[in-house]
Amino acid sequence: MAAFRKPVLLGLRDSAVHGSPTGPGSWTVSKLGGIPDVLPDLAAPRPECARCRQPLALVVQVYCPLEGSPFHRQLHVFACARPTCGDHGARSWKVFRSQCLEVREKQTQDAQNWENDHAAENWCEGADDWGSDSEEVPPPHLTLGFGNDSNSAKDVDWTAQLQDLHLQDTSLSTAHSAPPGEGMAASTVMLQFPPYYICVVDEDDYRDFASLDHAYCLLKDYQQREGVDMGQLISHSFSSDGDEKYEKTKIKSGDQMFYKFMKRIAVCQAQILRYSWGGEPLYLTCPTPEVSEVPACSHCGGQRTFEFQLMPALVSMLRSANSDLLVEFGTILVYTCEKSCWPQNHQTPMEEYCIIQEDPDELLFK
Amino acid sequence: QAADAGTTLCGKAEDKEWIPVTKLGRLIKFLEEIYLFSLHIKESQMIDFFLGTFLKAEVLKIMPVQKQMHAGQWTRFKAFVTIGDYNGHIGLGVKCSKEVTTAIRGAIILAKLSIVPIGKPHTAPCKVTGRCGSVLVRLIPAPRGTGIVSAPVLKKLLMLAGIDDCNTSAKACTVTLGNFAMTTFDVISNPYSYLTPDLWKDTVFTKSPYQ
Repeated sequence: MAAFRKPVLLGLRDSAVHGSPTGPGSWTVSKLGGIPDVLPDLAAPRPECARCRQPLALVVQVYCPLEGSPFHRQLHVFACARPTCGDHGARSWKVFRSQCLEVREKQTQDAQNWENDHAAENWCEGADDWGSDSEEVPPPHLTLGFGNDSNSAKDVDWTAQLQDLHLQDTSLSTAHSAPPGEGMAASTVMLQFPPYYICVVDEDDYRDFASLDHAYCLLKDYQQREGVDMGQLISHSFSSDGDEKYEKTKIKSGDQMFYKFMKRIAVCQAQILRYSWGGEPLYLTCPTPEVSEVPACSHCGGQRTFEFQLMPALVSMLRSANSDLLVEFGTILVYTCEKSCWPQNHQTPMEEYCIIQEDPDELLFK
Repeated sequence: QAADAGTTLCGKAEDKEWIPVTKLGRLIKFLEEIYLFSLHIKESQMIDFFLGTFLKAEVLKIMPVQKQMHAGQWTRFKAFVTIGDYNGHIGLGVKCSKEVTTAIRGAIILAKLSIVPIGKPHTAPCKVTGRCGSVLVRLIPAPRGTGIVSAPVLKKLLMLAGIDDCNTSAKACTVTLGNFAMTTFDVISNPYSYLTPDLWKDTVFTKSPYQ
C-alpha cells in the first residue's frame, strides 16, 4: 500500500564526547552539542541570533558526504538558547553547510605531519615524503575545475609547492593547538550543550519491531471468553452484523497529523534525527502553505531539497550544566541545495534553510 | 557515514524509558494536572508512565466490517478495547484495520489517549444519562452492596472504571455494540465536564453604577 519511500536513516544518541578531539576524527563524526568541529581550511561558523545579537549554540553537527561526490560535507545547526531571547515561539535557527574536497592521501600525510609536530622535529624531516606528495597536489587549488585552472597549474613550481606544504604544516599545527586554547576562551562566551556522539541506524531495521505481544494476549483472552476463534470470526462476516460500519479513526484532540507522527516514530522512540536526502519530511503539525515554500539556494539559484529533520526527543537531551540554556521545538526540517554547490576556494560555510514546526502544546503555554 | 562504533541497535536500552515528545510531556508531574485544565492527551506513553501497571486492557468485541468493491468484498476488523485501572480512570478505543492484532493494538493506543477520570466514589454521582446514535444509557446511584446491575458490556466498562454499585437503564438498540460502548463511555465521562461551583472563577464584585 505504501508508495516507494526513500530509505530513512535514524540518528540515536550514543556515548558522550570526552575532551575536545581534533583532526579528521573530529570532523567526520556527527554529534549533538559541543562546539563545531570544522573542516580544515575553513572558517568556523559563528552565527548570531537575529533578535538578541548573541552567539548561537550548536545543536547538532552532521557529517553527511553525498554519494558520488568528492567532498567532505558537514552541516551545522545552531539555535539561540537564551531564555531571554524574544518570545518562546520560533527561535532563531541557522543551518550552515561546509564542504572541502576529499583528498585521499591526505589522511596519511596528516598522520605523518602530526608525528612530526609531536616529535618537535625540524620540518625538513617532512621533506622525505615529498616524493609521494608530488603527484598528490595540496588542496584545493589544483584538483578543482580541471579545465579552468590549467593556468594556475602551470604556475605552481617546486618552491610554491614547498611553501604550500609548509603552510599545510602550520595550518595543521595551529588547528591542533588552537582548539584547546580557543575552546577554553570560547566556551565562556559561546554557550554549548553537553556533547554526545550520534550513531546511525536504518529505519527499516526497526520496522518489525513494534510488538504485537500484548495484542495477541488480549485476543486470546477474548477468544476464550466468547468461545469464538478466528475462523468463525471471519465467517461471521457474511451475516451482516447490525449497523457496524468501517469507522475512520477520529482523534479526540483533533490532531490527526500528530497522531500519524507518533505512529511513525513509535518503532524507535529515541530517535533524534531522521535523515533522508531528497525524501519526504515527517510533519509534526499540518504545514502551513507559506511554510512549505522553500526558497531557492542563494548561491547557485538551484532548488533546495529536504535533507534531514531534528526530532523532539532531542529537546530532552539538550540540557546544559547551568540550566539557563533552553531550546524547544517540535521538529526542525532542514533543506539544503540540491546540487550542494560549493564555489572554488570558498572558505566560509554557506547558509541553508530550515523550517521550524512548533511543539503542538506551545499554544497552551503562551 | 558517521564512523562510530555501536551501529548495533544502541537505542534499545533507552526504549524502556519514556522520552517525551511534547512540551506537556516534559513538564507534567501529575496526571491530574491534565484533568484540572482539561488538556488533551497526545502521547499514549504519558498514560503508561503514570498509570502503568495498574492499567488493564480488555477487548470488548471484534467484528468484521465490510466494504463493497468492484472486485468483491473487502473485510476489515473493528476492535473495541477498553482500558481502565479499577480506580477511577477509564478509556475506550475503537480501531479498524486489515488485521485483528493491528486493530487491537491501535485501539489500545486510542483508548489510552481517551482516558478520563471519574471520581473516587463507589457509584455514580447522580443520575446521569448519555447517548450516542440511538442508544441511551442512564446511570442511577445505588447503595453499597448492590453491585452493578446492567448488561454485560456495561458491567465490564463500569467495573474497569472503579464503580462498584450502580443501577442502570438502557434504551433503544443496544445490540449495536459500538454505539452502546460509546454511550456508556459518554455517560461516565459526563460528570468530568460538569462545572461544579468549586471550579467557578472567583467573581469580582464591583460597585454597581448606581451606588
